[in-house]
This record gives sequence, C-alpha cells and structure tokens, in this order.
Amino acid sequence: MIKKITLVLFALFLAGCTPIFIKEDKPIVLNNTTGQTTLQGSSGEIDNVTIKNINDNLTDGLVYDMSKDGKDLLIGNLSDTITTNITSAGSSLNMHLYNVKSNQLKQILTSSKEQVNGLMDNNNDGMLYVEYKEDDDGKPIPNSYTLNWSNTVGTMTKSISDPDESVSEKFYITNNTLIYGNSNGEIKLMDIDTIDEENIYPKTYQLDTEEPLSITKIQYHSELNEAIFLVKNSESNSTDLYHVRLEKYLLNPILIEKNVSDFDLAQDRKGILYCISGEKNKLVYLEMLQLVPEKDILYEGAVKFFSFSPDEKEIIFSEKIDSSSNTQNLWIMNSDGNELKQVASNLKITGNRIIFHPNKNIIYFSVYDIDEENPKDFIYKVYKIEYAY
Amino acid sequence: MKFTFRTKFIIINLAIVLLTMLILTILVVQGLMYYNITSSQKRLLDDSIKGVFYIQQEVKTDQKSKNYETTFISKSVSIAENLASANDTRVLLYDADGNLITDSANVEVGDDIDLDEEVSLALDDDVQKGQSVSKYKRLEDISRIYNLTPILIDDKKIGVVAFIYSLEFMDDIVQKVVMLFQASSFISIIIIAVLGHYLTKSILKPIEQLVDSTKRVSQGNFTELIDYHTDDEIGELTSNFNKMTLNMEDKINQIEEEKQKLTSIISSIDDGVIAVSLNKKVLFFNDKAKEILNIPMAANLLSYNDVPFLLETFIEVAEREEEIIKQLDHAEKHLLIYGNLMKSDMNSIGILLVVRDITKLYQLEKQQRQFVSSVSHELRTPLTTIIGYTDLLMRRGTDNVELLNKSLDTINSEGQRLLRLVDDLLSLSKYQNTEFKLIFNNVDINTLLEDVVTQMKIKSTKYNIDILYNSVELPIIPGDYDRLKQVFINILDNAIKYSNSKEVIKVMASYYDNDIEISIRDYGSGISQEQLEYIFSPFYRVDENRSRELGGTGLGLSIVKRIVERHRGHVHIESKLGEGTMVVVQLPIYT
Repeated sequence: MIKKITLVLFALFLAGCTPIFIKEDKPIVLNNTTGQTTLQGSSGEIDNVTIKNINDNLTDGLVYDMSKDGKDLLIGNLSDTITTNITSAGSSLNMHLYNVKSNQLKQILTSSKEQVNGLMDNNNDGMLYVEYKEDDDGKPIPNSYTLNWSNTVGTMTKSISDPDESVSEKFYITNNTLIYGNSNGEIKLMDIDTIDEENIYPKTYQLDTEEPLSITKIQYHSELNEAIFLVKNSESNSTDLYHVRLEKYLLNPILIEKNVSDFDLAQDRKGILYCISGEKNKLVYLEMLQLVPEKDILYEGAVKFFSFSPDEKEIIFSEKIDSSSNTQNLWIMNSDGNELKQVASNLKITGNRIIFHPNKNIIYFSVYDIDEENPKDFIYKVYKIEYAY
Repeated sequence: MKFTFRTKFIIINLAIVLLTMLILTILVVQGLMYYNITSSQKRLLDDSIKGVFYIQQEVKTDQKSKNYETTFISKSVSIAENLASANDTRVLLYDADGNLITDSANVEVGDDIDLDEEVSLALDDDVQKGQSVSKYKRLEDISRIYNLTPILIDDKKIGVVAFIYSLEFMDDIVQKVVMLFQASSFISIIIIAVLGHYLTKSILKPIEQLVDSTKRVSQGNFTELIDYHTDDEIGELTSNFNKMTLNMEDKINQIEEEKQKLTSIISSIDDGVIAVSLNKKVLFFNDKAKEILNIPMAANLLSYNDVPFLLETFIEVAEREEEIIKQLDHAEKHLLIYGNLMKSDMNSIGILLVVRDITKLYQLEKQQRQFVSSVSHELRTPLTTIIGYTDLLMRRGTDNVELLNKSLDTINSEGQRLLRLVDDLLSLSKYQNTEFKLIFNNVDINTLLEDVVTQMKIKSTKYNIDILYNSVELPIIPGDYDRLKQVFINILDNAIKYSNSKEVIKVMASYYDNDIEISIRDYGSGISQEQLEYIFSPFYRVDENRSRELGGTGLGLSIVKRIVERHRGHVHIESKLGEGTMVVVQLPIYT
C-alpha cells in the first residue's frame, strides 16, 4: 500500500510543475460576468454606457462650470498658444466663456493673478472666482486667496472678500445664497442678488475653536441651514469634514470624518457624498437627517473626482487605474452604489470637478498632457462625452 | 543488518516527514499555479473588457471619419501602446478579417505568434459581448496566458484585441518554492536524524532497561526491579514488569518451599520412592531407593539393566492400569514393590513405585515359621509319645505291671519335658518382649557366679564333670540378678551337656575399662564353624539326639542371648571341633 502511494507521489513530483487543473494549449471561452473585477458593489452586470459622441478636444483649458441654460462653459487657464498675442504687461487672459453651439471662445477676464476656481452667477449674468498671488517661482503665496465677481461681458469686476481675509479655495452657490469660508474660521453667507450693489454685507459666523480653522471648501444646504465644509489639518496635511448649523454667531463645528479628500452635497436627498482617504479611498454617502448618522460605503478604490448628477440620481466618479499613475477611468453609478457603468477610460482627468450638462447626458471635464516644447507646463483640454444607456 | 527499535523509529519519522514535505510541495506548487493562472486569467479578462471600451472611446473620438474600422486601423499603434503600458502586457490588434495589424512588442509585424485559431474563434458568432477566448500555453519554459476579445462597437466586430501575459514570475516562484522545499526536506532529515538520535534516547531508555531486566530474570535473577515512574505506557509496562518479577519470585519461593517440604517428607519415608513419567523418564528417585536397590548415591540415572524388575513392573502397571503389589528377591534382599499410576485430574502423568526392604521382616517371618514349626515339632514329639503310651495302656490294659510302670515313667518324663519346653518357650517369649521389664539392681557378678557354679556342680558331678571357678573381685554392675543367673545356668548347662566324663569346665571372670568379661570353657566335642552361625537360633541343637536325651529344649542359648542383649552386653562363642567351646559374655559396667 505504501509502495503504491509512494509511486503515485513520485509520479506527481516529476510531473510536478505542470499545473494539473488547467488544460494547456486549449482555448476556452470565458464570461466576464463570472470573473471578479476590481469593482465592488455590482450586484449584476457591469456594463458600459453607450457612447454616442466623444470629443477629446473641445477646447483648451480647465473647465470650471456650465451655465444654467447649458449654452456656455466657464473655462480658465488656457494654454499659451492662444494667449500669447494678447498678453499685455503683467497680466494674462484667464477666464473665458465657451459657447458649445458655435464653438466660440469669448474672453471675459484679464487678471494679473491666477484663478483657481470659478462658478457661474446665473442670476446676475456674471461669475464668481477665487484668485491668488504667485511668487516669483510661480508658487501660490499662502493665505492670499480672494473672492471676486465679474460680469460675463467683462466690464465690471469687484472684490467680494475682505482684503485681510484669505478665502476658501472652493465656495458654493445654491438658490440665491453664496457661501464661502476663510482661513480665520469664519463662514460668510450672502444673498446673491445683492452682489452687484455698492456695498455688500455678508453675514458672518465665527467657529468657536481653540485654533482658527482654515476652511478649504464649503457647501450649504439652505433648507436645513447647514454648512458643510472641509478644514485643513495642519498636523496631518489632510482635510477634515465638519458641519455646523448657522443658528447664531458663535458656532461649535461638529466633526463628521477625518481625512476626507473631497465632498459633494445632495440638496434634494439631503445627504453628503464624501471620500475618506486611505489605502483604498472610500466613497461614502451620509444621510443628514438620520438620528444616528450611518454612513453607507458606496465604493472603495482609488477615487479621485466625484459628484452628483443634476437630478441627484446618479454619481459620477473617476478612479485611477493604478496608484502609480494619474490615468483614470470614469464611471457612473446609481446613487446607492449599484449598476456601475464605465463612461471613459485611460484619461488624465484634472481640474476641479466633472461638470454635467443641466439637462442632457453630456459631461465635460479637463484632461492634461505634458507640453513637449515646455515640459514644465501642462496642456489642458476640455473633454466632452455624450452618452446614453 | 539488525535494525534496532530506535533506528526503525527514526527512519519511520524521516519517512513521514519526507512524505509530508512531498505532499506539501505538490499542494503548494499546484495551488500557486492554479491561483496565479486563474487570477491572471480573470485580470486579463477585466483588462480586456476595459481595453475594448478604451478602443471604442478612441475610435469614436475621431470626429472626421465615421468608418470605425479604418479609424481603428489608423490609430492602432497608439492604442496598442497605450493599452500595453496601462496593463503591462503585450498587446496585439487584429482587424475584422483576422489579420494582425499591430504588435506592441514589435514595430514590424512579425510572424512569431500564431493565434489564428483563437482569433477566428473570437471573431466567430459564438463569442459574444462580454466574453473572451483564453488559452494557457507553455512555450520555451515560459508560461503565458493568451486572452483574445472581440472589439465590438455598436454591436459590430471591427477586430480583436489580444493580450499576451507572461507568467514568468510564476514559473520563477514555483521553481524557488520547489528548491526551498527541497532544502527544507534536506535540513529536516538532518535535524530529525540528529535530534531523533538524542531525544529517543531518553524515551527508549526504559525499553532498553526492560530488555536488560527481562534477560536477567530469564537467567533466574529476580531481584532486579526497574526504576521508571513516568505515567505513560512504558511506565505502566515497567511497573507491571516489576510486579510480575516480584510475583514470580514469590511463586518460585513458594514452589521451592513446597519442593523442600516434599523432599523432606519423602526423605523421611523409609521406603524407596521412584516416580517415572509415561515415557520412562525418571521424575523422582529418592536416596532410600538407591540404598535398597544398591545403586550408588551419586548416580542420577536409573539404569534399568541393574534392576530389570523395575522396568517390568512399570510396564505391567502401565498396561494393566491398576495397582500392583509384589514381592521379589534382589541382591540378597527381600523387597516389597508397590506400583500404581500417578493421576492428575483424571489423567495419568506417570507411574509411582514404592520399594520396601522387608528382608528382616521376611526373615523374621521365616524365623517365626521355623520357630512355630520347630515348636510344633518339639511339642508333638513328647505328645505323640504320651499318647502312644496311653493308647497302649488303653489297649493293653493295666494288667502288665512292667508295661504299666514303664509307660507311666515314660509318660511322666515326657510330660516333664513338655513342661520344661513350655516354660522355656514362655521365658524366651518373655525375654523377647522388649516391654518385659528387667529389674535392675546392683549386682556383684562374682557372688552370682559363685552361686551358679555351686548350683550347677550338683548336676555336673552326676556326669563326673567338674566346674572350676576362682573368685575374683569385680565391680558392681547394674543388672537383673535372677536373669543373669539364668544366663550362666544355661551356659553351664550346655557345657555340661557337651562335655564328656572326667572333663572340666572352667569359669573365668575379669574386667576391663568398661566391661566385665565372663568366659566359660569346656573341653567337649566342639562346634563346627557352620553350626556356630545358627547357634543362637531357637531350637537349634548341635547334636539333636544328645540334647534331647539330656532334656534340652534347644532354647537355652536363645534365652542367654536375649538376656545378655537386654543388659546391653555381648555374647559370642568360640569353638573348635574336638577341642571344646568357649562362651564369652561381656557385660557393661556402666549403663
């Protein structure tokens, strides 16, 4: 008996390194539904959206926002090829409006400073934007962020923020309210209709903390009167997510989560979509009205950009293909995390966010590339994808 | 080559470990390969789906041309490169007819890869959206996975994208794993051999002790107990062994005791005991048997040639299966032999013989018979004479006075003789009876002898015989006066009977350290040497006629001998034919 076993084992040993489970040199057909992919949370099929139309180079620049009527895109930071002949001493052409129908680019702002963010002011036919000063090496001078307003014609410009404050990079407009924060731990609220008046008086709320909180991004839920914001954590060099109800002047901010890279507010659904940084970033949805807030992990992965669709039924997000590169795939999923569909792949998406057309299945975002002639500079292109289900 | 238990133990352990290692290696290697291949396949599947999407994206981006196929072919190089770098695999692109368009690894489209079969399969209708063709192949010692996916744009196949993924790393790892296992096996062998050698020592030590001890016990040494008190099977074994040894010692001591008892019992038996097994092997043969049968004490074996009657008796008992009692003569002894089967629980295990030397008894019986016959004879003679004469008288009547007187005379004298005979018989029986008590007093032999001589002179002068005695001083000895007197009377009586007229009888007495010696010498006819042997036997008469004539009963010397012996003395007779006889009596001075 022992001899037989030994013989069998010897045979195995010699055959040894040949896999006995897999047939060699025989093609087999595999289904991708049975295979495991890197995507979680998909209960059924992983499908792609049907791409109706792709334009990989709509125009140059970083796309910041789209007008409410879907006619214009707010674009910033154009590449030099367009701006060279228009540069006047000390200033550069920074913001443009791009008409999607006529494919025309209209310059609206000339400034000596750099823009970092911008939103369309649909009520007053203008735009709001944040600027900062650069030092001689081209790096932003910290705490030099200012919030400004300009009309779309480009004839009027004014400063919204105080000269002594450094506003949050990202601000927010909802209904008629503008909200922004600053590095002194203050939240400022303003009725947007009053923005073109001579004197503007934003309501100020002070966050009562030991050290003044430096707000980097803020959003506002008008119905709940809640401000949700990201605060820079000086120790860990990351940002933490807080919320506070704006009921009185001195406020105690409540920490929602630490180490949050970004967030987006769902007005109708009254929830916060945010991303916790870590080995695998967690895309989490939090319902604000729950007595005991319970967060729902919608997705885990190398998530970078994410936002709600205008109807808040879908979430679009980008995921890095691998941690060592910036190339991302673009996915769309239901707001409960199911039915992921790939929208784009292998793109170096950059900028602030991915912008939805207000009423069509079109998305706009910026991708970058290295300028081969000037390797220090980036070339930005606006990408457009029209999709269908 | 002898394998000790220890060696076997170690070898078995080695074998087990090697077998385990082999099994483990196989499991690990197969597991690794399976896992790697299947996970790589899945990954490639994933990548291929994404890759197709990407190709679709790239093709559709081109606003100018609406012909996806031509766009695809024109953009194939960049697509292949991007896919290859994004997925870290070799990418091949085929058109809708199955021709190779681009190879990410080669600028010039080469012929080194033949995937035509798979490409046509992928372009086939059987392979739908979301499916891929996968193949695992080992080429030139490198394993590779080939994954081919049809590129579907708007449900139309415009080509095939193939990923070739090398599993070189897997091959490498497998090789390393096998080497590691080999090294571990080798090290394990050494460790087990070395450690096993030392560790088993302590475990197997008690077994070695047991071996030693059992050896000693087998040689008869029961005092060796093993000292091992661990609570395991071996501990139990050794403790049981110790108990067993003590038990054995006990039992053997008991048996020895019993044997001793038996031996001493049998030794105290005054008979010869011989036990023989059914196949004639001597089981037991006591010293008494050797003595009786005249076999030397040192002899162990019974030589049947010397004593053939033993073998005959054995056979007889075995055949007849019952007890046998017989008597026979052997070497001048008369033996009583009792034989029977020895039984143990109804089974015969041998034959027992008991041999008794009844020579003396036999002779005694013989003597007694002789005695009785002599007595009868002696009694009968005077009785027949008496009856004869009375018969005669009855027939003839009492008329003849002469006849009457003679008859009466004869009857009287014969009657007297009869009486004397009966008296002597009684005396003899008295003195023969050891229970008959002699009354011991202090006796002066000298006085006694004077007395006796005086008394016998009366008789001897009738025959003209003189008795001479010189008085001498003799120590006082213990004795029965009357009986001692009887002794010398009888001796003198005989001397008178067998002396002739005018002859003398000399009586002399003297004493030595411990004895008084009395000798009575006559110068009569003397006694021959052969007759001397029987002289002390009852009824023995040297000269029958003479004795009867002189009224002797033949019992005189028997009585003398008895009495002298009761006094712890000796009597012997020296005689020569024609010269005379001397009777010497020795009596001890001290009791």
